[in-house]
Amino acid sequence: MYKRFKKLFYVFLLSQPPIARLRQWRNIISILLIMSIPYPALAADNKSNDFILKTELADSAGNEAAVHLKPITIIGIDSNQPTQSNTSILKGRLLHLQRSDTLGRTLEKELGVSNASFGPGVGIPVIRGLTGSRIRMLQSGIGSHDAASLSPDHAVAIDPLFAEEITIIRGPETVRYGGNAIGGVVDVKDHRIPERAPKNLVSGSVESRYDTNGNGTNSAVKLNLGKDWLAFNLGGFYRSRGDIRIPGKAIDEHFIAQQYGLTDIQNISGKIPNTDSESNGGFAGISWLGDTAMAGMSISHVDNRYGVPRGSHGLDPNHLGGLELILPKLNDLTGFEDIFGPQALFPNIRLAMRQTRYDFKSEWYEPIRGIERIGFRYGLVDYQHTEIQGGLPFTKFKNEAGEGRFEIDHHFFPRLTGTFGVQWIGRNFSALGVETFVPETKQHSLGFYTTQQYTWNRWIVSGGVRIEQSRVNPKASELRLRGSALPPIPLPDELKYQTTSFSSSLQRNLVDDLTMTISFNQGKRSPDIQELLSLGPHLSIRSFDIGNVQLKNETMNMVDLGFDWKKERFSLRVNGYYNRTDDFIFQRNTGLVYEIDNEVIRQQCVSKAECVSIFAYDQQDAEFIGYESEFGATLYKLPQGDLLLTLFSDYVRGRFVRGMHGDVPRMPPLRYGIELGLDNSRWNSALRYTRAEAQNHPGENETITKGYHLLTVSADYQMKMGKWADVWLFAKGTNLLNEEIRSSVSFLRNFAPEPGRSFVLGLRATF
Amino acid sequence: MSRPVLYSLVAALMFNHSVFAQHLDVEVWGQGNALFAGYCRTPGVVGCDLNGLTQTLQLPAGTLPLENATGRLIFLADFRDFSGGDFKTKNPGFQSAQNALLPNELLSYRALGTLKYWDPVLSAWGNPPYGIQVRLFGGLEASRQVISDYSQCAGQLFCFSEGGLGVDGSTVFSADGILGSPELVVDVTNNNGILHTHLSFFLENWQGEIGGPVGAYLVTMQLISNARYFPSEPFLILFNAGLDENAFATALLALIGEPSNRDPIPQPVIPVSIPGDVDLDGDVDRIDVALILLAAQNNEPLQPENARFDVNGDGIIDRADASLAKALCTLRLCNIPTDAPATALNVATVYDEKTGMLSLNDIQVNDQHYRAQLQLQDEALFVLATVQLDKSRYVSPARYDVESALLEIPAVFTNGKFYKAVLRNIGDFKFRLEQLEETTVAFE
Repeated sequence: MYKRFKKLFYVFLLSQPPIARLRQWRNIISILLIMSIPYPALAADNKSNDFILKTELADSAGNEAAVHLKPITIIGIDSNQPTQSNTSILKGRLLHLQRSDTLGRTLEKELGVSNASFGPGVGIPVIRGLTGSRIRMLQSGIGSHDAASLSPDHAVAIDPLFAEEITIIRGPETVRYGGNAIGGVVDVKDHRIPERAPKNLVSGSVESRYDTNGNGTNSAVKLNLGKDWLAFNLGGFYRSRGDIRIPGKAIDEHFIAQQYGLTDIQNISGKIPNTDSESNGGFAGISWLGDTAMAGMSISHVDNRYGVPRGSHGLDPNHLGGLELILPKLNDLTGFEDIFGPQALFPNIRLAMRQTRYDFKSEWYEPIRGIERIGFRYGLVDYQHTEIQGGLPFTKFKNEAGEGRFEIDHHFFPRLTGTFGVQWIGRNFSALGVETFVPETKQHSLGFYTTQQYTWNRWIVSGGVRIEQSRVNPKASELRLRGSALPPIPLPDELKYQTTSFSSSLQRNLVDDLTMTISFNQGKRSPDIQELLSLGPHLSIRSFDIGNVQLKNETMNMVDLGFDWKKERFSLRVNGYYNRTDDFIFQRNTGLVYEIDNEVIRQQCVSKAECVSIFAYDQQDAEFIGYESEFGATLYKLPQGDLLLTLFSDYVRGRFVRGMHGDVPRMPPLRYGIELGLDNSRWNSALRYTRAEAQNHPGENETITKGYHLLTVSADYQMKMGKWADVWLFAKGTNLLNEEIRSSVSFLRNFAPEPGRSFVLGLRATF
Repeated sequence: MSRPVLYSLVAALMFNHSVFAQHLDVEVWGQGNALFAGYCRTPGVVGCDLNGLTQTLQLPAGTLPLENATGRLIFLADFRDFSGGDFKTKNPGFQSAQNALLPNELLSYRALGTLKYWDPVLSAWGNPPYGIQVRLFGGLEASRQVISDYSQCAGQLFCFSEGGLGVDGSTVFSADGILGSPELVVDVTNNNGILHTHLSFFLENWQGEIGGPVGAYLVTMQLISNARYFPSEPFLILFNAGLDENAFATALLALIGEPSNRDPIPQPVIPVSIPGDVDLDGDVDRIDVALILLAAQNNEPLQPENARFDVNGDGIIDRADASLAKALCTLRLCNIPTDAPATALNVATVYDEKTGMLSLNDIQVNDQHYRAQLQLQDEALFVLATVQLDKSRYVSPARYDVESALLEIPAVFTNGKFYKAVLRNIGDFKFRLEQLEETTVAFE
């Protein structure tokens, strides 16, 4: 492994050009540095054709200038640079318009991205059919470190209300972000740590919106203060919503009976009870901004309280252990409402989540010749959520994590730029209470990586390698299954993993405006805690999980071919990919069941409602094939504005390679659609129709989902309020046809469909 | 330990019995090294209502469900009850009152005999129709096939036999005898020795398709414990498969013969030790409160059988008793499973202070496993009373080293405590106690 790394390094050394050409290529190096692939956000900036060009006018050694000038920053545009077609960035007007309660819902329109809901309180992005431990959720480059990968009812601890920019990388990004980015990355940039001083002493934004579905309100305020070398950022938000409205019944009784054997269901039409949520949070950031360096930190806190639809954690809502037979006989329950009232009998499951983050960032620009930047980033995250049943605490999940990154960007040679970095993560995880299917565990990882990029005429060759070591230390020496005669199960003291990941890509400007990119990534992921050490009933997904401490690294081999064509009147973007994952970790149905009430493992039980299936983590090769495509054109240039047409489609098919070639569960369906827009400089409007076909490959123990038609409309208007502020008014309508939409990527789709028709009105003022 | 499922109590105590299928739960208790199974040992316990049973089935007064030919107890169940559907049932349940068994005592069943069928047309007992069988799914976690060493399970934290989860987890009662696994787990008691659990019985054909002819079906089993040498006496379970009450009573009476006035096995009444626990399931929960409220609403007079309903001891059953029971209910939603017991799951050795009998339920000598009993003869001297070759049943058995003549017992349970003990074989079937120290963790 180290030999390979060394060899790669020598290849780069051999490409070194003559020293004499160094100076004339300096500016080009700077441009390429900014566009190098380790910086997805910046690389994605290219798509929008604005980026920051740094250049040093005053030269140093070898140029005896009479006057020495300080470095300055020039904002420039370069429309000729190729782009990464599997990377996209959402920001500005589109981000504000698409912004929703959860990250998944905010991004669900993006190609190749779906929303794994668990009721409206949870929305986790799914990229090319992958989520959980395979997709890294980042907040300005540092992980969210919540419990979202552990269970699908756990929300991502990143609120999109503060997002200034969201970068989506489809495909492995393990070289820079580690094994958990094997399926992609979602990086939410919120600029909590100021990176530049505001133009005015005080600037900021205020945003408020109202959603008719569930009376949802969102309000956020952001202030940027400072001058010269000191800058402060402050922000706060509040969000609340009631139960979401849906067409038809909440629970799909047919599929519930088929999947879980639940037949005596208390169903409700028109809304999903216990889907209300309330969230608030804030942050404060401060930065020192020097001429050649900066340092800053921020502290942020978020509280999120949400309910999950009934039927997930609990069993049959009518199952009260016999109490339901006695209560009808009782004439007077006065004084006993607390134990016989509706909330006591049919307790809601609610999650109270809170996270406090401390983020640090420091950068030093061009400290020495040939070094473009030295960067340090560290995040300390204190996360916990309590699952509450009937108003009483049930289980508390805690995650205390620290993640750091140290990077050096170089431009030693004219055509070659790159980064050397080290990343480390330490994590203490615990789940205390009733549903403790994963033991207290410590996890540490350390990764060294480099990415290099070589540019020649219309070609860009990129490559990267990462070597990572990680270890998992369960706190307990053995696991016991509560109330069971199962003998104690001894655990290893430590589990160690080592991975080496590679990335490579070749970009070529075939003709002006047309770029082809072909990339090959081999990313490795070491098994996550729950995959190794689970033991016990996992009620949110109605399963009993058994971990496997001998799981191997999962290896994803992805080939991605993309074309990006941009002309004045139209644009086309197409990506096709094939992903062969060796030792894909999944949950295999053992054919056994666990009877929750009696806490007994059986081969079969009389009442399916009282039993959950036993799944064991296992590995099998899997393959994924899919595409994303989008065609945009300006149909007419009218006096009122431009009439725009967009056609789009995405698809992914995942299945296991051996055996019965079973389907990988919870894959998104084929989507395609059309959008018509009318835009001018002050206002925009769009009507978008999406057709999602039925998902007839749901996977083992899953049910199919029907196709649906999704019609959305949006309009926004920008106006100046003197010289003090810009006001942006917007409105959008979602699911105008009020379709019953059950998402194939959602664990809870048969209990909770997606929201029905809704209209959102809002305004945003920047000053 | 199981969370109580109290359909049977509700049915037995509070409602018109014709609404519910008749059944009797199997009550289990231990005495010394022997296990007993019966019904109505503890008055008012879940699933015991003999009077209601005789009324519902219109049996002659004083009829007890005992097989005339063998004297074996008959427990009733119905494939049509509300728990499973037409051909599935969780009844009869199995339960033990507080302290009736040891903490963490593992109870299993052992299937016996052949399946018998009551043909309603012939009004006679005989073999079942060809291919018809009763399948019982027991607990697997204490199966001999369970492997809790991940190195033998390809890394999986536990598995059943040879690295997989493939296990024959069912017992088949057929006309040809017992097929599949004859012994499987019922459940393990909690820290108070309480157990209440239900198994899963299916009526099916030999291809596993659910269903079968109308009639009554009779199976035989006995209970075994990992902490006691002697199993329970065999007993019968009589399943109703579609018969009306009269026809089912006829089938039952054909087994019982002439009305019998025999009492069930006489046993001392176990006192209720948890105030407010009126259903005797070991905790005070919402169902206890509801039952007291119902008794108060019905103005039930205080009698010896329902004395526990008078929680505050003022001589009457009223809402104040329910309020007190509610106050005593400290569990989540008044019904929470307790955390994993800190004590050892399997107590291989038990010492009975009254009889002076040290029961070693698993002794490992080289690769062989034995059961034995040692009788206390003097202050620290035991005499070997019985010894028998047996199978391995425990995670940490006692170990006897032939060369050193030392018998090391990792945990002896007696009087609510655990002790680590070492005995030396001094010859002539005598063992001298050389070390005895209290331990809190049974297996280290």
